[in-house]
Amino acid sequence: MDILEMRNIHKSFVGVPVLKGVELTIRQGEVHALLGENGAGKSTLMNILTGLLPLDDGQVIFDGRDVTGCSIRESEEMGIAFVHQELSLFNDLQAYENIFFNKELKTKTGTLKKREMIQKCREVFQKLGVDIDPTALVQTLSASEKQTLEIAKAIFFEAKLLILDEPTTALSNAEIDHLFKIMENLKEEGKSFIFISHKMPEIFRIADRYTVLRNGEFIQSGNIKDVTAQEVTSVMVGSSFSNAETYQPRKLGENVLELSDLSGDAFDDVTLNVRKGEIIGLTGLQGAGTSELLQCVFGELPLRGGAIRVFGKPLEKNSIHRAMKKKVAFLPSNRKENSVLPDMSILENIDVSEHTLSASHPIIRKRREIAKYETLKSQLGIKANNPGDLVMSLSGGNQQKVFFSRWLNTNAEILLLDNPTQGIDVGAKAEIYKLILMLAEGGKTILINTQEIPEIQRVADRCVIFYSGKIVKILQHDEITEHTVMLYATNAIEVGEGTQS
Amino acid sequence: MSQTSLTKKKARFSIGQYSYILIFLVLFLVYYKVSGHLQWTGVTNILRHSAVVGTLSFGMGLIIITGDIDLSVGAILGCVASFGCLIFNLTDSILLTLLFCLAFGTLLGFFNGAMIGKFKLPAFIVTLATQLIYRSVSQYVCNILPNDIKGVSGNTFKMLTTDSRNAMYAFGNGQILGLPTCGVIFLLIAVLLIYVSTSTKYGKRLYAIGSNVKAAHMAGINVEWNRVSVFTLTGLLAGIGAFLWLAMQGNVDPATTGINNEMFAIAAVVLGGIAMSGGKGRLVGVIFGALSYTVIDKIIAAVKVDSLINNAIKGAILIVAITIQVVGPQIKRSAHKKK
Repeated sequence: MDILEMRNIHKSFVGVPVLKGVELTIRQGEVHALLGENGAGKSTLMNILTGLLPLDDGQVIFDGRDVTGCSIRESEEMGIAFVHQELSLFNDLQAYENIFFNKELKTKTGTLKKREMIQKCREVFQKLGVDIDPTALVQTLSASEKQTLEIAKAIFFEAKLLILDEPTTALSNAEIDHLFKIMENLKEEGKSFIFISHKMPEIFRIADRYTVLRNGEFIQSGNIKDVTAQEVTSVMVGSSFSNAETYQPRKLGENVLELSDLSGDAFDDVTLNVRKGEIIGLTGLQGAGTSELLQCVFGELPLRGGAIRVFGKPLEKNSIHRAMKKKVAFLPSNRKENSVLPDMSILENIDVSEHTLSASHPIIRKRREIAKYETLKSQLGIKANNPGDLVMSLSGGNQQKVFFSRWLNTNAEILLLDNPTQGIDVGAKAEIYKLILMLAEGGKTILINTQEIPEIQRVADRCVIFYSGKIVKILQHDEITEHTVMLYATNAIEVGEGTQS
Repeated sequence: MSQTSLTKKKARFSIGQYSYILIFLVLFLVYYKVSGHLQWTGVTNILRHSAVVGTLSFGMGLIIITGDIDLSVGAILGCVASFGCLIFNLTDSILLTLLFCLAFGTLLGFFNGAMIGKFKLPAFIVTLATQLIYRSVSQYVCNILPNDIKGVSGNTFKMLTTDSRNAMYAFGNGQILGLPTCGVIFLLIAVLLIYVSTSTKYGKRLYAIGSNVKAAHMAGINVEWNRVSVFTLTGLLAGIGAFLWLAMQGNVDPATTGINNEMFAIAAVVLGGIAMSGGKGRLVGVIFGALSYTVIDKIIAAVKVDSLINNAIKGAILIVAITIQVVGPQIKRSAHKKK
């Protein structure tokens, strides 16, 4: 029996279609994986289902009733519960207060029946196999406990269909096992799940069926046991996922970036010479000092000792503007906080850095800027309708390309990239790798800080491994394997040698 | 995706962005009705009376675009006009008075800017403090100066009646092409600053700082100095406003000249559709914001109510206007949703 049927759903935002005839059918008592890259339309579809967004065209049938265009409240009452990616709990309230929020049990005079609520809460927790004290403050709970609390809340009010949006991002493996066990139990009782995730192993573990969306279109759906992870991935990303291994050794130029005995806030005595056209991967555990090193070279963090030479000339007095003048660029991590100018257009977001270098010509020549934008757009493959659109209208991967353009537009030669694929989906990641290789081919020198070793494997000529602020090992491209890198990054090698001697 | 889809708005034309024109037209029609026999001079007078506060509003607009605020512009106006009048009485030179007003306004604005930009103190507190300082100093100096320098007995300044004074007064109350000179100067400043805000790299930097200061810094913008510059520029504009005031009025009361003008300027900026959070809005709206405020004054004068109720009416109109701007789009959205 189908609990939910969404037929031919259409939705546009200011004329830009984001859903083009999407179909989604969920059977009762199944876990249904909703798959697609960022920007495929998953969240929009879910927001239509829960009544957050109106739809332009199509039909929604839930539990045998036509519920097209229902409100948030109506969808909740029908039994659709959205367990959000960013949890929507009140940290300063107790667990049971969160569950009963806005639906408190009251006596006739309006006072709260606290004991009864706590008791009922405890029963649900027991049923779910959750070990949470109903009177615990939510802020004292772990991420996984919060997650189960949200699920408990949905179950308590008799949700029939639960939407889990990337529920495992903040969870450890044991916690994921626990979550999946809860899901299995609820499935037995006939609850249905829409499971949104990018992690293939989890999808293949928990899901019964799947639906793939791409660019707002319904691509295919079927039983999970009839497909492989590779097949699903290629269906998700479409044609863009053909470049498996594009790394090729390049001819490198002279030294363009020389760090000698560099010390700063989180790193010490770093000596590294980087040649023109080279791609260096910097990695290490969280807090190993790699991000701080890049920020220091860019002049954002203070230099405590040592020297930086760029194109053979010393980079005196570290400041961002001086680094930029020496053709050094820095793409910071955490795009939303450190890169995005949310109120400004795509074009303005690209031009902002170049304008600080060309400030002696104070007037903007719009036509020339647009011409430069068009070149960058086609070079980087930015998917955008109009340079005057807000940068926030783009998907994560395209936003990141805009910020690459911001620095390419300054004619920077040395690109420092801090976690450049953060918050970007698989297909866009592949495009970013391709872009990095293409830029190096064109003579740009690139330093990438990342903890994703496969990323380094795909692009880097050399991998520089940090441990606690110091370089412990430099691997050549052929030597980079996940295993070796982890050995050095966790300092397991030194410990091993130490015990032997 | 959920965030991006919700913010999938375009930085292009929409009626909501231009509600300030509507507000101005409504107010103007009301004025036209209540004044009975409105003549051309009555219309041009709106421009004339908007000149001083309008000039201040443009500085305020730039500051609010960067996400800051300046509570001292009214005090700068009063202080510069007071000392400017003093300089005039001492030198009897229009040119020196003008140069002094420009330089002194710039200096007072620079002091604000240095505190806020360089030493990273909160703008609200710094300009609240300098508002008190600038006004108090001018009152104190006025009180201790002999009457022959002040040009009048009591706690005010008056320009001594000389040929230069008459020339300046004639300039301040004269006309160019049938329009009041001071109003034309205001419009020229407005056009210049609108151009700066939309078509220069400096203008875009101010928007970038107001939109996301961390990202602006990481993109290479010198946030400190751009902050200093925008407060300094506002000081200069207040200096221009002070000179226009002198030319139009010929006298200054350090205790009341420019009082509450920072609030009128903020109101004009907000009526003009610029967001207090920074990074959003266009300066062109500030012209209409400032004109709207003057029209309200005129309406109140025309219907002959007690002038003490003036600010209450202005406040009420501000609330109505902001409600239209904020609630209007929400109504539109929910109407769209019901469809």
